[in-house]
Parts: sequence; C-alpha cells; structure tokens
Amino acid sequence: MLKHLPVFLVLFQLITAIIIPLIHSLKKQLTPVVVLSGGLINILLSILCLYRALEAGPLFYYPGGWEAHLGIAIILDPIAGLMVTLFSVIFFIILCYIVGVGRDESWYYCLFFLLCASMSGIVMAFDIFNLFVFMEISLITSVALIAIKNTASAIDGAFKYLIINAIGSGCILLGIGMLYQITGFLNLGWIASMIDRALILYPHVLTGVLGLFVVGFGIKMAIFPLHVWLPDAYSAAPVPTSALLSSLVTKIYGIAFFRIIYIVFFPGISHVVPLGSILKIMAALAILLGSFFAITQVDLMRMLAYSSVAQIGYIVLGFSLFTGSGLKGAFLHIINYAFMKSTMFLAAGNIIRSTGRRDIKNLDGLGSKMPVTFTAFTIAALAMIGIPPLNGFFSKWYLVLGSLEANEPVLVVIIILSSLLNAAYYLPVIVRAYFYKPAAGEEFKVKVVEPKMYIPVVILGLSCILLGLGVNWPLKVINRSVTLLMGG
Amino acid sequence: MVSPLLIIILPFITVIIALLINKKRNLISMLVLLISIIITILVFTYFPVIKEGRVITSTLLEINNILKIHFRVDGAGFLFAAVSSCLWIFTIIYSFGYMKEYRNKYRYYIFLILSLGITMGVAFAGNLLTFYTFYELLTLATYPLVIHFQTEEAMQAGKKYLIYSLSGAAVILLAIMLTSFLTEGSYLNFTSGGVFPSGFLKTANIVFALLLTGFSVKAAVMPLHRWLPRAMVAPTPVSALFHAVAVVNSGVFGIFRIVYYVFGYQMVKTLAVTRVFLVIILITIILASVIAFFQDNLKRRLAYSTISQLGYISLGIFLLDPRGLAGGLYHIFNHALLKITLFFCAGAIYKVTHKRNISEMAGIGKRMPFTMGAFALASLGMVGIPPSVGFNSKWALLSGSFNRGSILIMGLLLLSAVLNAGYFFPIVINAFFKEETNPNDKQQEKNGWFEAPLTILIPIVILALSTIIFGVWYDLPVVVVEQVLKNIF
Repeated sequence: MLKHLPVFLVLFQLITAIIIPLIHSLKKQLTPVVVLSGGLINILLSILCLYRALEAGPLFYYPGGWEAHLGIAIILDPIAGLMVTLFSVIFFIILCYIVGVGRDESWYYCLFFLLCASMSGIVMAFDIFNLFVFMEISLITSVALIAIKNTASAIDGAFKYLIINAIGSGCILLGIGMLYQITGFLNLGWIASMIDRALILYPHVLTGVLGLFVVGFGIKMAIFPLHVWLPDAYSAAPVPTSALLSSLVTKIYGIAFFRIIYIVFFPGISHVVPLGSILKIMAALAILLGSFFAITQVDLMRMLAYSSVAQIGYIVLGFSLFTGSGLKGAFLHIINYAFMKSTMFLAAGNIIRSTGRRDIKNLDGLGSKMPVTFTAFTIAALAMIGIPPLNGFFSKWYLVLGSLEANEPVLVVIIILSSLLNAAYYLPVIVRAYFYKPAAGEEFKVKVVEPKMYIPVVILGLSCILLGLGVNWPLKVINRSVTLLMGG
Repeated sequence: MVSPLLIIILPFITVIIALLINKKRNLISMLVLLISIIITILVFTYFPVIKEGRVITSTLLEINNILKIHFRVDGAGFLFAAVSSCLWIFTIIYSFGYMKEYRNKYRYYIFLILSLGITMGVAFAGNLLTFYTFYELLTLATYPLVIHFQTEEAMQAGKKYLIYSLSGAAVILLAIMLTSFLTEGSYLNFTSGGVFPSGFLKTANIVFALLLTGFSVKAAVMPLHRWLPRAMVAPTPVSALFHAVAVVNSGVFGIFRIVYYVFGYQMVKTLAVTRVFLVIILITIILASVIAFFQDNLKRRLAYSTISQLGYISLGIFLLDPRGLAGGLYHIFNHALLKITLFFCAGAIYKVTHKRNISEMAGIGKRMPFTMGAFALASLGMVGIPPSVGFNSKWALLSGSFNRGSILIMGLLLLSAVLNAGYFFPIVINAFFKEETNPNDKQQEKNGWFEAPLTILIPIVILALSTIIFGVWYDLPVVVVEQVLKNIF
C-alpha cells in the first residue's frame, strides 16, 4: 500500500478538487467541512510521504509499470517529502483563512486543490515530460486563481501572467525536446547517464537547452529580470492566491529547475557554460533591485510582491553556489520564506479587508486598531529582516556561509546589505502603523477582524518564531536532501 | 542563584501576561517596578559566586557548532547587569513622577521592562552571536521609547537611531559570519585570552575593524555619534537610562568583550587597527568635550559629555593594561551613576520650569536647591574631584596610561578633565550665584522653592548621595573588577 503513496497523494488531491464543486451543488453547508478535512488528510498523507522518504530513502515509482526511457517516473525522496509537507501545511492554513473570510465559491477551492496536485506532481516528477505536464496544469490553475476576482486589474494581471508564463513553458518544452533528441531519454536519471557523451558530442545544443531552461524556469520563478509579470499578478489577485503563489509556487519551480541542474548538468556543464556565475549574478541583481523597487512602492501588496522578487534571489543564490551550506540555506529559506511571506500576505489581506486601504501612507495608527494582525505582521517582517531568534536569520546565515565557502565575499556584502534594505521598507510600515497618528479628518472606519480571520495569521506568525528556535528540525531533513543533491 | 535565562525572559513573560489580561492598565507601572526589583535581587544572588572568581556558563540552544545561544555570568557581566538593573529601579520610580501627564504610559512601561530583560541578555551573553542577538533586540525595544512623544522631531530622531544602529549591527553580523567561517565553528564562546585563531593577521585586522565599527555606533565613538544628541528628544528618564547607561554601555561592553574575550589582549596589541582606534577615541574624548562646551541645551550638553565619557571607558579598554582596564570598568559604574543623576536633574528642571537651555537657568539653584545640589555633586564626580566616585576611575586611567608610558594620553586626560570642569561648573555657578533673569509670572508668585514632586526628587537625592558614598566606600566595584582582571591578565 505504502508503495503507491506518491501517486495516491496526487490522486487524492485531484479527486478532492473534483468533488468539492459537486458537493457544493448538492449541499452548500458541507463545502467548508469537506475542504478543511481534505486539507487535513492532505497534511497527513504528506507527512506519511516525508516519513516514508526519510525511512526508506529515495523511492522510485513507475505508474503502469512502464519503466526505463519511455515511462513516467515519480520519485519520493526527502526533498519531495519535505516540499509536499511544507506545501500541505501552508495550504491548509490558507484554506482556513479562505473559509474564515467566507468565500462562497466552490471553484476557488477546486482550483486550489488542483494547484496543490500539480505542485505535488512537480516536486515528485523524475522525468521531464511529466514535469512539464504538471507545470502546465499549474499554469492554467494559477491564471484562473488570479482572474477569479473578475475585476479589470485582476484580468489584466492574469493575462500578463498567462502570456509571459506561456512563453516560459514554450521555452521549457523546446528545451525538453532538444534534450530528448540528443540523449534519447526523458527520465532524469537516464539523461544524467548520457550527459557526459552529449557534452562532448553536442556542447552547443546543450548550451541552448540550458539557455532555454534558464529563461523558461526563470520566468516561472520570477527571477530578475524575468519577474515583470509578478507585481501585477500578485497585487491584483485575491489575497489567498497571492499568498500561495508567492510563498510556495514560484519556489517549487525553483526546486524543479535545480533538481534538473544538479542531477543532470552538474558538474559537467561548468566546462561549457559558466552557469553558476550567470545564476549568481541574476540572483544578486534580484536581491538588490527587488529590494530597491520595494522601497519605492506605495501600495502594500505591490511592496510585498517586489519583496518576493528579492527573496527569490536568495533562494536562487543558495542553489547556484553549488556548496553544501549554500544548498542548506536555499532549502531553509524556502521553508522560512513560505511562513514569513504567507503571514505577511494574509495580514495585508486582513488590513485591506477591514480598512479598504492599500497605500502604506494611509495605514497610520492602524496598529492599535488591529493589534493581533499587526503583531503577526511585525514578527514576520522582523524575521524577513533577519533579527536573530527568528527564522529568517538562520537561512541568511547559511547563505552567507555558503557564499564564503564558494569564495564569493561580494555576495556576503550583498546579503547583509539587502537585510538593511529589507529593514528600510518593512520598518516604515510598522512604525507608521504603531506610532503615527492618522491625519486629521481621516478617521478610520475599521471593520472588526474576526478571530477566524486572524487566527491563521497568528499561527503562521508564531511559526516564524518556532522555526527560528527549533531550526534544528527542518535542518535534519534538509541535511538529507543536501547530501542527496550533492551526490555524496 | 538562578539561570541567567530566567532573568532575561522574566520581563517577556510578564509583558505577555499583562497583555493577555489587559485590565487595570494603570497598575502596569507598579508591576514593572516589582519585576525590576526582583531582577535586581536575582542579579545580586550571583555576587558570592563572582566574588570567588567563578564563571557560570550555560547553553540554552545549540543549533550547530556555530549557532548557539550561550550565556556566561562573569565579573564584567555582573558589573554591567548590577549597575543597569539598580538604575532601572530608580528610573522607574522617577518615571512615576515624570511621565504622569504624558500619554501612552502603558506602552512606555512595557518597553521599559522589556529593555531591562534585553540589557541583562547583553550583560550575560556568552558568545558573539548571543551578544549580537540582544544587541539588535535592544535597538528595537528602545526605539518606541525614543520616539515616545511621536512628534515630527522625535520620529526623525528615531529614524536616525534605527538607521545608525541597524547598520552598525549589520557590520557586526558580517564580522561574526567571517569569524565563524574562519574558525569553523565552536570557537566563538567568550574566553579570556581570546579565541580568534592566530595566523590570519590580515583577516583578523579586517574582522576587528568591522566589529569595532559596529560597536562604535552604540558606544557613540565619533564620527558615528550623531544619533545620540538627536535622541535627546526622548523623555528624560529614557535619555537618562539608555543614553547614559544601558544602550551606550552595551556598545562599550561589546568592545570590551571583543578585545579581551574574542581576540585576547595579546593579539589586539599586534593589530594595526588598535592604534588607529586609540587615536579615534582620544579625538572623541577631546572633541566631544569641546562641542559640549558650546551646547546651550542642557540635555544636548549632557549627551556630548556622554560621548566624551564613553571615550574614557573605551580608552581604558584599549590601554591593554590591568590598571587601565580597571579604570575603564570602574568608569562604566561611575559614569552610569553620575550621568543618570545629571539627566534626572535636567529632567526635574524641565518638568518644573519647562526650561531646556542653560542660559535660562540662571538663579535656578535658589529655587531648586536639592536638584541643583545633586547636579553640583554629580558635576564634581564628572570632573573627578576626590571624595566623589569619579575620581577612582580617572586615577586608575591615569596610572594605566602611566604604565603604558604614554605622556600624551595622560596629558589629554587632564585636559579633558579641565574641559569637563569648563562645561559643568558654569551651570552650577550660574544656578546658585546669578540672579534670575526674566522669571515668568507664575514663578514670582510662588516666591520660594519649587522642587519637583517627590517621586522625581527622591531618586535624584539618593543617587547624588550615593556618588559620594561610593566614592568613599568603593569596595563593591573593586571586588568585582579584581576578579575580572585576575581572569584576564
């Protein structure tokens, strides 16, 4: 039974996605119950996956029994286990938030579960065509999730997302085709075994493949300068969508990309293309410019969106250092960032819902009106800046250590500098909310935030503290993943 | 005797409980007073251990070799913790009177007690990372106190404070990361004699320079001092406590820790940065005194005096000589006691007369004899005239520089003492012997004393008397510092 676990997880998510609208049309009151219990079971299954991956090591699964070079290959290793667990936890909390807000749209839940299924598929895919299929599912559902608000800006954002990401998908598909042409395989393990020969025979084709992958996945990860779709999409989308897309979806594309890089191309490729340096430069630019753009924003959601651009930079940086500590930093930052950013997005959602304001300048004096929400926001912001006992500090620590191991002191300065830049755009929000008085004649009409809306935010905020003090636990799993990727 | 962790988190627990209950908000000040007294008592339970020269260490949380939260209770930490926590009690009592008619008292007391816990963390931190953690938290916890009045000026000052402090902390973090990379972990616990590996002379210079720069921000070493005079917009108890005692001393204390417990004084002697920094400190001592001379705003003058006096402490640390270090450590104690008295007096004057500038304070001694008497006593100490407490540290510093054989430093110390006298005594003379200029109507009616309320006056008088008492009976700091010296040299 446990053997089929990876497929069962994805199937469960797909089936839940389909029955939710069904149940909604039959008996409306049942929808939240089904959604939440679906989310809970999802967490349990994911934890089981993680447990299995840690216990039994990497588990390969071939649906339909088609092995070797044509069949679909699914892998359940600590990386996949960790990611599905992380995703299911954040996913569940965001589901609670949606239920708390009281969205009466079964389609929204359905799309959410579809997205969840595609994410699980991406992290567990071990052959690139299967990967591509799940990425397409994820693309379509993401577009729908952004556009579901049906406002002009939402449709505009969704359209931008669709067009640019479709270009990305095209690049990836082309790359996959070329890779298949020169190696004859789609399974990552098999490609890896052929790559040394291919590197000698077709170095230029492989360079092309790599270029296509960098652009394609770069768009999907929103790595600078391919991030242009991100601010519009995130700021126009419904808050839970932005929270999920920002905190996890883009990062999971990153995992998929770097899994290919580490398994297939690394380290042979470095003789052909200076891949590490290219990615490092892109990451460094993302970190600095993302932060600079964030400072100039007046809209709270857009500020958070640009901050995502900067944070993706950290993760890409960690992966592209090709050192143990760098990888640890990247994985740790994916986990920490998911909690920090979803806290901030949901808190921002509460703020916007109860005041109707999005401009940072108009948030003066809100701290005393929405103390719980703002406390959570503050914790997450401080974690983002990297104040020590909170979780963000530790991932930055490992990233710096990784940069030093890779002999790149400039990157260390960039990371430290960007912490200061983070402070420069997060602290003013907090200071304004707590210590400024609203301008005369601009008294607030603040809708009361109900506990069911702020409890998810509080849980996420508290987990930023817990993950900081208990950073040992994720590190255990991460260490396993790192040894796996570094091949030692 | 309890774990240092308890002392540090007691305020946090208190605040969380207070926030959860959220009733009887006006009782918070009494609660805060109670907690600070408990903490002081807990700190003093370490005294017997310190007296024997033992060092208590404990590890709270170990993430890996490098990242661990580690505490160390030793003589220097005890000195810093004891001085701060005692003065905290006085400040809270003083605040009862001073903050009476201001708004947001609840917030004020909450952050006041949180900062106490964090300051204890700074005092008892056992490695650089723990130190850095509390150092950074101290910035955040004191920020709401600095901008308490929330005026435009206060917000600007607060911004400056944040920018300076966070940048300084970032530089420290950079240095810590470099160190931990070089030492490959497990070497970062404070140990007397130093833990920095020898053999990386160039890197050691860089790391040392970075650390010094970072800590210089809070220690207000010129040219990184500019936030301090601006921060004087804070309520006077805050200026007194943080900008004379806790915050600035945390910077100095950081310098002390890195010189003697990370690098070790033997190694520091060989580093090129040491000489440069010594020159900067000397410039700071003299220049800040000169600038103080020209300040008319009393609190600003005190602020520049603080900058100069902190230079004394850093100088003591950088003399790298037992007598000199003793002088520096004594001066942590003396300066805290003296400067808080001076600030309290300035606050009392402002509270009663709403006068900020020295030029308006002529003749005020006749109206507020206790306050100005205390001010006069503390000024004597600042200059370093014998029965007062200030003499001990200056004498030790002088003999330290004599041991070092540096006539220049001795000369500059004497010059600075003269400058101190030059900017403190005119205030006192003005206050007692000049006629009142344009007294406003209200004061003429009450033709007599108009001292501040008792909650303000009593801390001032006790502190002023203690500057003399400790000047005569100086056993307590001597015992503690002796152990520190024995441990280091």
